[in-house]
Order: sequence, then C-alpha cells, then structure tokens
Amino acid sequence: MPTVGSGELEKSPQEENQQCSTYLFPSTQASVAASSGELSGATKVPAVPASTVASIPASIMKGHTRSASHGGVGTSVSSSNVVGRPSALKQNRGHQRAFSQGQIEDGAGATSFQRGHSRVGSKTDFILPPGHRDSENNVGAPPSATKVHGHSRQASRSESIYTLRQSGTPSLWHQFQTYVLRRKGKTEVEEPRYRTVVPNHLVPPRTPQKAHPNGKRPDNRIRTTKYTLLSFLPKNLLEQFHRVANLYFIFIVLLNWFPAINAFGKEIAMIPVLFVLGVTAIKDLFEDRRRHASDKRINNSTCRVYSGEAERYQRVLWKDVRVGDVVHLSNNELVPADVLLLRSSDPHGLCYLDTCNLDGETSLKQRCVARGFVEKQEVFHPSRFRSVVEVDTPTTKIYRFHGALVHPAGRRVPVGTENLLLRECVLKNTDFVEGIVVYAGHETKAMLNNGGPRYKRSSLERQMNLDVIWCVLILIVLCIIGAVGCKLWLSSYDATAIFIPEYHDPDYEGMLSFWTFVIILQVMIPLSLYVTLEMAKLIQVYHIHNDVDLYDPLTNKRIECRALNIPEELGQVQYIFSDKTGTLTENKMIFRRCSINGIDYNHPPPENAESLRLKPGAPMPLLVNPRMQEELGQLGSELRGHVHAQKIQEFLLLLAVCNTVVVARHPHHDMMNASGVIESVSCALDNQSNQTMPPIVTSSALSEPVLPSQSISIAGQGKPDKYSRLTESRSVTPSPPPPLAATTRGQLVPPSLSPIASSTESTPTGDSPPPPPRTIRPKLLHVPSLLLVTGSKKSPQNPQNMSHKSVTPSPGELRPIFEAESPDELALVDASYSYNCKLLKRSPRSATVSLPGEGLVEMEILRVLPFDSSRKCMSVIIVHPITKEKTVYCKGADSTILPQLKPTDDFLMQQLIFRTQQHLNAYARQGLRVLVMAKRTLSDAEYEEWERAHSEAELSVENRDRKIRDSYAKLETNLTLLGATGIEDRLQEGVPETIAALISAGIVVWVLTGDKPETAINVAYSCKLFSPQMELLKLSARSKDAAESTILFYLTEIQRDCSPPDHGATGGLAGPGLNQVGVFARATTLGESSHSSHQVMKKRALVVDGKTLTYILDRRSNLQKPFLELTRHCTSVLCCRATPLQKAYIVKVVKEVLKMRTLAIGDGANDVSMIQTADVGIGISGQEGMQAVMASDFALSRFKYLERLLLVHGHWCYDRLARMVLYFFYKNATFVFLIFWYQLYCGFTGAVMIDQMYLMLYNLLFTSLPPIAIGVYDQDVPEEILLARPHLYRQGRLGLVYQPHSFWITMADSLYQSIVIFFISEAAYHDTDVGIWEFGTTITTSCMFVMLMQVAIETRSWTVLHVLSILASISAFYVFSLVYNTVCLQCFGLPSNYWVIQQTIGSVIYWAVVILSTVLALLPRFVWRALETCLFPRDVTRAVLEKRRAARLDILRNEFSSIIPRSKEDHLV
Amino acid sequence: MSSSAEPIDSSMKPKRPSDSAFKQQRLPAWQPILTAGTVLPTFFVIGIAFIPVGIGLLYFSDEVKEKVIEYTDCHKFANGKEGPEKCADIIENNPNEECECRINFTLEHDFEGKVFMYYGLTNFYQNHRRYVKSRDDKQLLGELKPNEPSHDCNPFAFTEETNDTTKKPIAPCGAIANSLFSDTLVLHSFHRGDTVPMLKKGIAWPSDKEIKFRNPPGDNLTEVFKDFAKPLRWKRPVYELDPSDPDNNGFENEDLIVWMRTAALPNFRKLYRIVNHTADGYANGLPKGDYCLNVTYTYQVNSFRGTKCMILSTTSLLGGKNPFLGIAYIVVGTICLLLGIVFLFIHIKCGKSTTEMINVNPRTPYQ
Repeated sequence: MPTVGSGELEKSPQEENQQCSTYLFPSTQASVAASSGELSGATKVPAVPASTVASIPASIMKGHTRSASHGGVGTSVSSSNVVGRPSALKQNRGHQRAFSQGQIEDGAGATSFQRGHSRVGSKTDFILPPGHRDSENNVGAPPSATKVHGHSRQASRSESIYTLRQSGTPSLWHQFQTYVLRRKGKTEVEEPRYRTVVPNHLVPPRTPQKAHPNGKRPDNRIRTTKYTLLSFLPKNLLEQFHRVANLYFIFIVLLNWFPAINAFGKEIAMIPVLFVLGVTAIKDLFEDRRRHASDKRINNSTCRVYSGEAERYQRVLWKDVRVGDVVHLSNNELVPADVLLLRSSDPHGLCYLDTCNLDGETSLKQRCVARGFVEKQEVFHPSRFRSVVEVDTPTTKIYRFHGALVHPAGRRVPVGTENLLLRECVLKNTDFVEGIVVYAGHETKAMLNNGGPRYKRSSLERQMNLDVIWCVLILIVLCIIGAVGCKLWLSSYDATAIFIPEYHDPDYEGMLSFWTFVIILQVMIPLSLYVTLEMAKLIQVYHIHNDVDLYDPLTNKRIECRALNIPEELGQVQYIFSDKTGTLTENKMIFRRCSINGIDYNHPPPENAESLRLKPGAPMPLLVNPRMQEELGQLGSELRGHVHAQKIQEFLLLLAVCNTVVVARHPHHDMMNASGVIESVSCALDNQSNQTMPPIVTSSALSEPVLPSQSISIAGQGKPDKYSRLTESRSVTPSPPPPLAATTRGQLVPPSLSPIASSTESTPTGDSPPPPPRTIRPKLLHVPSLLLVTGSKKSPQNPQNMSHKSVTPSPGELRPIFEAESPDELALVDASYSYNCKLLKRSPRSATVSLPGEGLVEMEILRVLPFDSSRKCMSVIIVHPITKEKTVYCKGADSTILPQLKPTDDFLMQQLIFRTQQHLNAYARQGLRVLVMAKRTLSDAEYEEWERAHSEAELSVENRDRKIRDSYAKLETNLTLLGATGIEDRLQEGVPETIAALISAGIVVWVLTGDKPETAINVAYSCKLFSPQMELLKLSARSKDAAESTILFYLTEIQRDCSPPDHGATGGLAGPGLNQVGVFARATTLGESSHSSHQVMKKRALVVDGKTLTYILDRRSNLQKPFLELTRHCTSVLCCRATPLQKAYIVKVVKEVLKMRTLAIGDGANDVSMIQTADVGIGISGQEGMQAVMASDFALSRFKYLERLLLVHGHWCYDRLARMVLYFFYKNATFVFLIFWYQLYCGFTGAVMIDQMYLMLYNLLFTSLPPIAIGVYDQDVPEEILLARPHLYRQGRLGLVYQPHSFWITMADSLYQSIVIFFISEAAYHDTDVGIWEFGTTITTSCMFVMLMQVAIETRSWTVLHVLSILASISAFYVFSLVYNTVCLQCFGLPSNYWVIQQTIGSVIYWAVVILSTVLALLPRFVWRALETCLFPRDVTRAVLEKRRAARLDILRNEFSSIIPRSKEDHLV
Repeated sequence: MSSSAEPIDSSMKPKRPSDSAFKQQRLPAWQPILTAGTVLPTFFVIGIAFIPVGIGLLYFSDEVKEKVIEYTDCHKFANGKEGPEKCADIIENNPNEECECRINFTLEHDFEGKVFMYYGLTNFYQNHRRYVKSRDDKQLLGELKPNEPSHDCNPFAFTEETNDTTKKPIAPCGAIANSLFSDTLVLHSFHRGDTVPMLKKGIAWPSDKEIKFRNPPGDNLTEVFKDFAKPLRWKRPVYELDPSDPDNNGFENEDLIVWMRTAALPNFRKLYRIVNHTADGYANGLPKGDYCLNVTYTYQVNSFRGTKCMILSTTSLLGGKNPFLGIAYIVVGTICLLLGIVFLFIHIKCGKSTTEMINVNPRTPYQ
C-alpha cells in the first residue's frame, strides 16, 4: 500500500499550521501575530469571556448544558479557537454562543462541583454570523440563577436557532389578519402576570366549571385546524381574498355592477370567480380535514391522571386533561401537557426528556422535581399534595418558565424551567414521573410555538407572476387604446346617431369605457391559470407520491410530499447542499479494521448485509476475524503467540474501557399499567415501588434505554402493556453521565488525519501534488445483518487460519445494552465484545469487564480524561484489580498520539510504529475513521504527582481551562503504541451513483457537514463527490485576512490557468486585491458560458472549514463574492465543521448572491434551517428524528431517490408546467386579442361578439382539460432516457422551456393567431347578413379549435388522457352550446342566443372559416416546431431521436443477423 | 402527503403504491416528433386538399349574381319627375314627411334560382354595446308586463311624461326596436310593367319566428297593446306594422324579427324580401332587364354618415357573393404545398446531417 504522506503525520497540527502559513502566505504571519494579540486581549476581559456558560460559577450549573452529540469533534477553546472568533468578541455583538456542533466546552476544573454534566452548548448552538443579534443574550449581565438553570438557549423555536431570524415588524395586513383571525384568548390584554393552578383533587368533585379555580384555563384539547364548521366560509373567503389575483377579480365583478360600465350580465360575471373560490375552498377543506384527523388522534391518546374521587390514577384522554391534574408518566411516554414535575422514580428526583419533537435536539435534557420534593420522593402521593402553583402567563419562550409552589403553610418555593416537562417531549430513562399540569392545550409551549407552514414559491411561479404583470400592462394598454378609440369614435357622432342609445360626453364615455374594457378583457389576467396550476401541481404531487420507484420497502416509506406547490422547482435545481452524516452516510459506524502489534486485521462486511438491513440503532454485527480470534485463543498457553495474544487482549480491553459508554441491562419499567392500576406486588404502595425496582435502576441515575433486540424479548415476555412498546428507544443517546466523578464528559470521535488531507492541505500553489491514489472501497457498503456471524467464516485475507472456536455470544445470550455518545464508541465496544472482551458493567468509578482468559474483572477507574478537540484524544486511568497497576489507556487521532509515543531505540518497536502508520494511511485512504490506541503505565508516585498538579490546575482561577488541558497532555505522553482501528461510516446505498448522476446533470453539489475535514474529505472521495483527478483547494484560514488572501491567491491561480497565454500576463499582474472582486463579480454573470469552460479545465474541489466560513459569511468582510467566484471554478465544494446556521447562511448566500435555485437535503435537526432556507428542502426520514422531515418540502427515505426525484419527476414537472403556463398565456391572450379586434368594428364600445356564457366557460370548460393533460401527463422524454442521460436535466436547470422571451414569443404568436382567426371570419362574413352571435359563435369555434390543435402540437407524448381531454373539450363545447342555445330562451338576463349554434353550424361558411383559421393560425408554430427539430433540436428531442434511431438500428441489425450467417456478421461488425 | 406521525402499529401495513400504469405514469404513449420527414405528408395533404376546395368555393362565389343599388342620396321623386332635393335632406328637416325615390337600373344577367332582396346599411353600429343590449327578450316572448320593460331598454323603456300623456311603457322597448329600418322598397319591372312580387314572410329564422318572438296572448293585438306606447321613432304601432297581412304584425312581424337580430359588423345587409317565384315570369328567378326601385324614404342615415342600399342577390352554398374564402383556401393550400417542398428539401439535405450531429454530440458519453 502506498505510504504517501506518512511523514507528515508526525507533525502536530500547530506545526503544520505554522509551516503552511510561512511557506505559503508570508503576509498571514502578521495576522497570526495579531490574532494572538487578540487572544491575550480576550483573556484580559473577564466580562466578555469566551463563553459565558463556561464562566458561570460552576456551582449553579446544574442544568444540562450538554452539547456534543455524535460525530462532531470540537475545535474547542484552543488558542486557535479564540482567535477564530475575534469578530464575535471584539464587536461584542452578543454571540457568545459560539460553539459549533459537537464542541466540548472546556470547563473541566469545575466539573467536580457540577451536579450533572457539563457538556456545554447544545448541539444546536453555533456560530452566529455577525449582524445576527440574539436579543435574549445579555452579554455583560451576571447570569442570574434562573437563567443558568436549564439550557443556555432562550430563544423560542419560532424565532430561533433553526430559522434565519426575520426582523422587522409584520406587515399591516398581517397584523390585521392576526387581529381578525386569531382566537380571542390571545388578544385579551388584561391578565394578571401570574395565574394560580390549584390541584384538581382538592376541588370537590362536580364543581361547576365557573366556580372551579382552574375553570378559566383551556383544556388540553387542541385544534390545529384553521376552520370550524361555522367559520369555514367567512374565514376561508377572507383568506382567499388575501390573494391579489382574487381581489382583482372580485373588483371586476363589482365593477360590473355599475350600470354605466357593465359589460356582462352581473351574475354571469361571477361564475369564474366563484368557481375559483370554490375549488380553492374545497382544497382547503380537505387539507383542514387532514389536520382535523390528526388532531383527533392526538386528542384521543390517553394518559393517566390522578382522580381525587377514585383516589388512584385513571386512564384519561388527552383532551380531558385539565390544568391542575396530577399526571403519571412512564418511560418513553409523550408528555400530554406542560407538567410541573413533582416526583420521579429517580431517588435524586431527576428525569430525562427527549425534546426532539419540540426543538429537534436529539440530546436528552435533565429535569428535576421541584425544590423541596426531592426529599419527599418516597412518600409523595398526589392526595397529599395540597400546594398551589403559581405560574407565569403562557409565553412562546420554550425555555423560560417561572413560577412558585405555594404550600398550604404559605411558604413559597420557586420553580423554573428545570422543573417543567413540556408537551410533546418524551420521557426518557426514568421509570415514571408524576407532576401537575400547569398549562394545557393551546397554552402549552409546544402549541404556542407551532408555526404554520411557510409558503414557498417556485421560480417558475415567480417568473410567471412577472409575466402576469406584463399581462396587466398589456391589458392596461389595450384598455387605454380602447378608451381613446371610444372617445374618438364617439366624438365623430352626435346624439342623433340612431344606434347610440344614450349619448354622453365623449370624454366621459371614454373614461367609462376604460373600465368596461377592463371587464371585457379581464381574461388577459389568467385567473384560471392559478387554479389550473394548483390543480396540476396537486396531481403531479399525487403521482410523485405514488411512484413505486420512490418507495422504500425496507422502511416501508413512500416519498412524502409535504409541499404541494413546488414540484416543478425540483426540475430547476442548480445547487444541491447536502448534509453528510445520515444523509450520504448511514450514520452507522462499523468496526472495519484494526492493526494490533503491526498486524492488520480486516473485518469485511457480511455478505448478506444487503438483505438484512436493520432498524437504526441496532448493534453492528461483526464478522470476527478468524486469525485474530485464533491468536487471541493462544492466550494463556505457553506458546510463542502468548505475548501477541496479550497485546491483542490489552487492545481489546482498551476498546472496552476507554470510552464513556454506559451499560444497561434492563429496560425501564413502570409498575403502573396504562389504566393507572399498580400491577406488581398486590398492595404495593407508590412510595414503595422504588424498592421493588431492580437494583440497577435505583443504583444510579443513569440512563438505560434499551436496545430494540432486547426490548422485544422483554416485551415478548408477557406484558401486553401499551407502554411496553415504548421501551424501544434511541440507543445512541444516553442521558448525561453520572454526576460523580468529574470526568466522563465528552464524546469521542476518532480523528483521522488522512494523508490526503495533509499532503494537499493549504497548498494553494495551483499545481499541488496530485492526490494520492485511492484504494477502492469495499463494494459492500451496507449495513450488516442482525445475525452475528460466527468466526467460522473463511476470511479472504488469511485463508490459512481456520477458527473453530466460536466465541461470539450465542444468540440466546442477552447482550448488555451499550449506550454511547457517539456511534464510534459503540462500534468499538461492540467489537471488543465480539472478541469476548465484554464490558458488562460500568459506573463512574469502575468498570467490570469479562476477559476471555481471566473471567470477570472489576477495574477501578481513577479518572477519565475527557475528549477535547485540541488534544484530540481521551484517556482513562484504571487500576488493575490484582496487580494494582495504574495504566493510562489513551485513544485518539493519529496526529496526537503518534508524536506522544515513547521514544524508543528498539528496532522492533520502530518497525511496529512504522507498520501501524502504514496501516493507518491505508485505512484513511479507504475512507475509514482512524483511531490510535496507546497506553502508559504509571507508577504510584507518578500518578500522585500528576494528581496533585492536576488538582492545582483545577483550583486555579486564571486560565484554568488551559492548565487542565496542559495537565491532561502531560499525562498523555510517553505512550506505548497498542494499535489502531479503522471505523467505517457507511455510505448509504447508491450514494456515489446518485451524486455522479447529479453532477453530470450539471448540478453543483456541495456537502455541508459538521464533521471535521479529514473525515469529510474521505467521505467526499468515497461518494464520488471528489475524484482523484481533482485538485483539492483547502481554505482553512485562522483570520479574516488569511482567508481573504487565500481566496484571492487561489483565484489568481485559477485566472492564470484559465486565461490563454497572451492574457495571462494581465491576469497575473492584477494581483490579489479588492478591485479584482469586481471582475469576478462580472464573470459570475456569464453563467453557463464559464461553466462550460470548466470542462476543459482542470477540475478542482474546494474544502472550506467552519472557521473560514465565519469570515466569509460575515458581510462586512466582502469575502462573499470572491469566495463564490472561487466556488464557481470548483466542481464541488465541501464545507466542514459548519454549524447549522452557517449551513443556512451558505444556502442563503448562494441563493441570493448567485441567484441560484438551491436544494438542501439533510436528515437531522441541524439541517432544519438549511432545509427551510433553500428553495427546495428535502428531509431524509432517517434515524435522527422527524425535525428535518417536518421542515422539509419533500421527505425521502434514502438519498438515492433524489436522482429519480430530480432527474425524472423534476424534469417532467418543470417541462410540463412551463409549457402549461405558456399555453395559458397564449390561450387567454389570443382570446383577449380577438375581442379587442372586434372593437375596431363596434366603435370601441366594448361590445363582445362572443356570448357571455362562452366567454366565461371558455376557460373553465372548453379549454381547461388539455392544458391539465399537458401539465400533468405529458412526457417530453421517457424516464429511461432521462435517467440514462442526466445532462437532459439542463433544460430545467437553465430554465430553457420558459425563458423570459418565451412570454413575448407566445404573445406574438397569439397576436398572429388572433388576427388570423378574427379577420378570416370578418372577411368571410363581410357584407352579409350575419348576426353578432353567429359571428361570435364562429369565432369561438375557430378559436377553440386553434387552441386545441395548439395543444396537439405541443403534446409530446400522446396517451389516452390527452386524446380524451381534447375530445372532451370539443364535445363539451358542442354539447353545451347546443343545449344552451336550445334551452335558454331567456336566461340570466342575457341577450337570447336561441338557436344560434344550430343555425350557424348548418352553414358551409362556418366550417370553411373554422378549418381555414385553424390551419392558417397554426401554420407558423407547426413549421417552427418542425424546423426546430430538424435544424437545431433541443437536447431532449435529440435524445429521443437518438434512442429511436438506436432502437431502429437494433431491429435492423437483428433482422440482418438473422439473414446473414454469423461469420459474416462478425465481419461486418 | 401521508401523515408522518402515524402511530407505529399502523405503519406495519405496507405503503407500497400500486403499480398501475396510470399511477406510475406509464400509460402507453405515442411520441410523435415533428421532424421534416414527419410533417411532410401533413403539408402535402393540406395543400392538396385546400386548393380544390378553394377553387370550388371561388366557383360557388362566382355563381352568385348580385346587384347593389345604393340610394342614400336619391332625389325626391314627385309628380312624375325627380326633384332637386335629396330625400335625405327632406327627412332631416322634417322626419315625418314622406319622400319617395325612384332608381332605375338594369340587370345584365338573369338571376337564376331564388332571388333575395336585402337592404344594406353601412356605418350603422348595430353592435354598439348598449345598443345590442337594449332590448327586452321577455317582452318579445309575449310576456307583457306593463310596468317592467327590462332596464336594458332604457332610455327606450317608457315614453316621456308630458302634460297630457302619462308615462307609458314602450312595446317593443329598447334602442334596437326603436331604430327599426323603415324604408319601403318596391321593385318594378319595366319588362313586365309590374311590381315584382315579393314575399314578406320567410325572411326570418323559423326558430325566431316560432319561438323567440311571440305576440302576447289575446286575439286582438290592438287590445293587447293598448297600454303600451309605440317606440318613439315609429310611425305606426307594433300591431300595424304590416297592414296587408294581419299575421305579420306585433312582435311576430318578420321585418322586426330580422332587425332585432343585430348585425355583427357595422356594414351589414338584412334580408328584406324574397322574390315570389311562384308568380308568373319569376319562376326561374329574376330575368334580366330594366327595373325600377321605388323607395319610400323614411330612414335617416345622414346623422351617422351611413349609406343605404338595396341588394338583389341569388344564393349559393356559401350564401352571398364572397370570393375571399375561395382565394384564401387557394393561397393557404399553395403555401402548404410550398412548405412541403421546402421541408422535403430540408429532409433530404439535413435529415442526414442531424444524424451526424447527434453522433458527435459531446454529451453522449452519459449513457
């Protein structure tokens, strides 16, 4: 295996950094110096600490300020980090919540005082771009106790973290609407600041509601529907009139009521509007019914409420829960209302909440019972709870709650957020809790924060709206011409003209006729287009939803189309922003390789992995490496292999111990069943139930969720309780670690500094060394099976070794439940378990491990040195039970551990290190996350000395964090190498293919991840985002200036590369400077042209890290444009360590600055803001909860479906709708022009020759179906071709079907056609006795035939539906007109049209005119279409033709080969 | 669309969409592509079909014989000779005065077949928006209600109130009826020395005559219309429109019916009479020779710069004489043929090159 870059591994990151900057950017040195100055400056200002959270006195930090969830490794408060946030600090903008996902706050010194977990900064905390002010954050203010409790986040969901905040007051209309539409309860002004909640069991039963102290409070019934039966009509109408188009038409209807203006029958004129309103109302009604059904389901869920009468808990529907009720909740139960916690099964009064449904955070939040109740846990009984609760009036602020418990004696106990369980959260890791409902129903914070869906408008629709404005202008012009014409015409007559019934002043008449023209030409504004468009989209979405190829049989999920109005946007995506973890990868870590004592052990994935995909969170089954197994088996024997086996065992022991894994054996169980009856011991009192609990539960406040496999077995053992199924839970999210030793914080992700990264990193020379060749990843990347495959399987790598001793646990054996912060740790522990090195029990101070040779061993854990991102490693210090030997087990990134190895002269040892390094490089190239394991044996003296020094460091006031870190680092030296591991984060099935297809479709794919660069780059390679031929540009600047100079440097390089030699000189001279920006900015407008030039150019890929992004996204830095320009030269971009908000900002910048249509796809809560910002948001309904899905417009179950969704459905939808929209413009314009031409013959009086019924029904009935057929069912290209040739996506991406000029071409066409239709009729009927209605009927018919034939020309694939729609339209016209002209002698006050159609269609002239008009009107378009295909066919046409030719050729060849003998055919070929 | 928050137990049933051709958008489809080759036949077919049709139409149009006599500016004929004053001026000065014109003309050819007599008006905007509306179809259906002619009829719904008369509803109300063409046209044949016999009935659409225009119930029209005033401009009430034929009075008067069918264009003709071919000498139409048109000139067109004319015309498949359609068909047919030839050329020339172009397409590698 190649060993490129192994030398660099030994450099510390700082060294590397330094070297790079000196080597490449002499100018940046100053900035480095400057930033270190800033650093000291920052430290001098204690009032503005790097993190307010960290500086809060630790004693009051009892809330949970956990951050760090899976996967992320923080950059932490290393010097570089402080430097990295100067803008936030200097500008004092109030963003001290600057820790990105997964960062570990360094508060180690304080930890011993902390009650819980000091992992600070929730996952969703992130670097807020400057200028984004968090109003809730008082920077300098000393944190009050209530504020520090609980979460550091204060903003409510609706205005928060996940959304880019929109400042500015709502529009007046909005305010008005809010005022009108909102429920009265919200507008009430006067309410006391505090309300009192009296426990309901204190109130005598059957108290009338008015007398009830809690009677005023709403019940827990929720209603998310917009309408009630009564309010539907007025409210819906009001809402519909919100739309400008509807208002316009209502205005026209009203206009028609003025006798002087009226052109149409008053009633008839309302038909279209009523139709539109009706259709929309019905659609709204259906949507509302869906909401109603879900409300009903929620309202009818049950929970257990204490009944004062029955003196026990009873099953009650959610909707009947009232404020003041005492409820009982079991583990994994949804909280029905906002509940003040009074009692928990936990002896410390703690319980854990999963707030995923509320804020999307997957971490658990700790809650504790109200003060004063912790001690009364055992004796608490609802009936004895006689206190009254005073609480705030409800607010939307999720994490703000104040209140007090007022005891009967009058003593007040304050309660706060940490005592409140919020509705829609899930109780976790606690057997049961009890509490009193303080807010119910719509007053719960969950409901108050329940914002409605946003309305996204597709770019097609935006373009359409623009053209509608053009239509308005055309209409106004026509009306003005009409009005002027009317005036001129009229002024040439006087009152004696016999055909002018009432003679007005010509000016007045002209003015009136302007409005008349507005009425009669109203069709110019295609009202029906809006309705048809919505209907077409609805049907399109229906078909997408029903696409069997987008159905995932494994998860039993279809594609979920949550947004109904942007299917065509899918066909126009230009940029895709994808999350990595969980979206591209499965987020399942699989132990793939390890290197022990210089030997590489491979663990190939089971071959049947494909068929046995698991539910998320299940343990990764491991195919035990037989050789390793066998070598391990030599343990204890006196053979030569003993030493080696010992090393293996030690390695495994390290895997098992050196982590923060929590072991659970039992699921949580509540004695009370669903109907509130205590089930276990006959007369077990509530307060005794704790004792009856299995000891493991009471012994710790730990979280012990249960793995599915086990929960099934337990549930199967005979508890038909409805809560038993709730025991299934997320295994990877434990509750915070025990509050005992300070140490078990942090998570660990194996940092893998891959050689790829180090070799090309920060070498912006333009001719960086070619990336190292990448070994091909194993083909099978999919999730392994549930079954544990025993070691008897033959490994391809060491076939000589056959293990017959199966040491993997038999399926029947109960495997303990491991819970770890990161899936990596889980994979490691699982791996060691598979080798019979089983971690069985773990407490903060000890770990019980079953070792193959020695049986159960309980080891004391002296300390856990938690992971932090500057050290990039974690360690544990354990004491061996027998030898009492103190050992430091350390695991971490290769870049950290390898330099810390004990210097040795031993050749064997050097050899070992060298070999391990080689393995590491190989692992990294395979895209594995690598970790290095090492140990150090400590003498007692050494330990004590360190311990003493460390205690000092912990107690120090200044620079405590740094000192502690240094102290840790001191311990982690002189290590002995044990081995290394490679963990695979599997790519999802089909990801590389999908990405390749998307890229060849011309879509720019960016991957935005919170992961660190090395891992991300590996994944980028393996998912084909990067190819080995690409030049990798890295942007990881530590200051704004560095970022700027790097970007500009790259740009000049690229300029030099791009420009031909003669222009090269000027490009080179121009040097990096801000004036360059203008040039680039102009270049961006070139759009596709520059794009195509890339294909000849060297391909580049850009890697940006989060810190650099901070500078780039800062608007004041003016770096956005150069950066975006740089990205334009790169085929793909990878953003690492990006925070959720940064992700959103990137999307926003690309969307707004580059004016690109963006699609964001992600699966986690951290992608929510990105998904919401993008034009199209796609959620992967994967493992990380529903937040992404809830925020998304489309929810897929796998990434690979994106290809089909975009390339096929998107393409179709865009093409169809674009053509449909144009057709509508054409259709209506033609009609309007026809009427307008008639004005030339009727003195601009506004007379309409077409019967009003036709006029109104023309759009609704006679020409409505064919466009829908096109809009929904037409396929310009069959799907096979679309999938085979992704480049066809270009059509939608560049918006080729509906371009700005398309509208004008359409208008010209309709002008021509209207002239043909009208003047042929006019000429044919010239000087005859034709009546106005016969004339109109002829024109209507001609027009209709032209329209329908136009559809026929535009239809690309004829199905039954197309034919039917056209036939139906024609017959609708004739049937209607025949019936109407027969039945209607006198209808609606219209001029009677009796027998007109019968009379007309009997004449030859009618048919002659219709045929002639149709042919002549369509001739140009027909010719144009034919010429287009012949001379410059579109891509799609070309593709279809080619396919057809190929098929024909195949047939030909087959026939040929059947005729000609085989040998000849060979010759021919 | 499906609700995501479904409870776990119900998610067990497979949500696999059904694999029907409709739902999967895989209905059998025909995908025509408009290439030069495929459109060729269309052009030739249209061309070949249109030219003969055009020739046919032209022929029919030529078959029609038409004689137009404009008499707007005819001079008053009194005492056996033509006076100096124009009837139009006389009428303008005194609308109630009767003025007669005589215009001699010669038919050069025999008018064979049915011969129709039209009156033609130009610059008469019968399609004026308010004019078109100014009628009461209900009234014309025979539903006379004294107080409510339709509002559409205003200002011709009621007579003005004067000192000696009360406000009376007008029947038939409205501007259309009010402006009823009132000239009387009579044709004299010098050859036969007699008036040419004309039919007054059968000029309106049968559907109009039978259904759309009904007299109010009652035997005596005079009685029926006694509460109604005649339209302002009319000289005779509605029940005396045709003194010669009692069945041709009231709303069922065919001249009225024809007039009430408003014309589409400002220059229009309306059927006035049909030559009675059952009469002697006119069985085969109108023989050539000298004729005289006697006009009782009462209808004033000067105010709107209109003209009046009398048209004698035979009829054909297409109705009147109108060569436009024939010519148009021939032209369009020719264009199509030419286009067909152009496309044939393109097809032969470029059909191959398109193939070549496709083969060298740089984007083909994505297969």
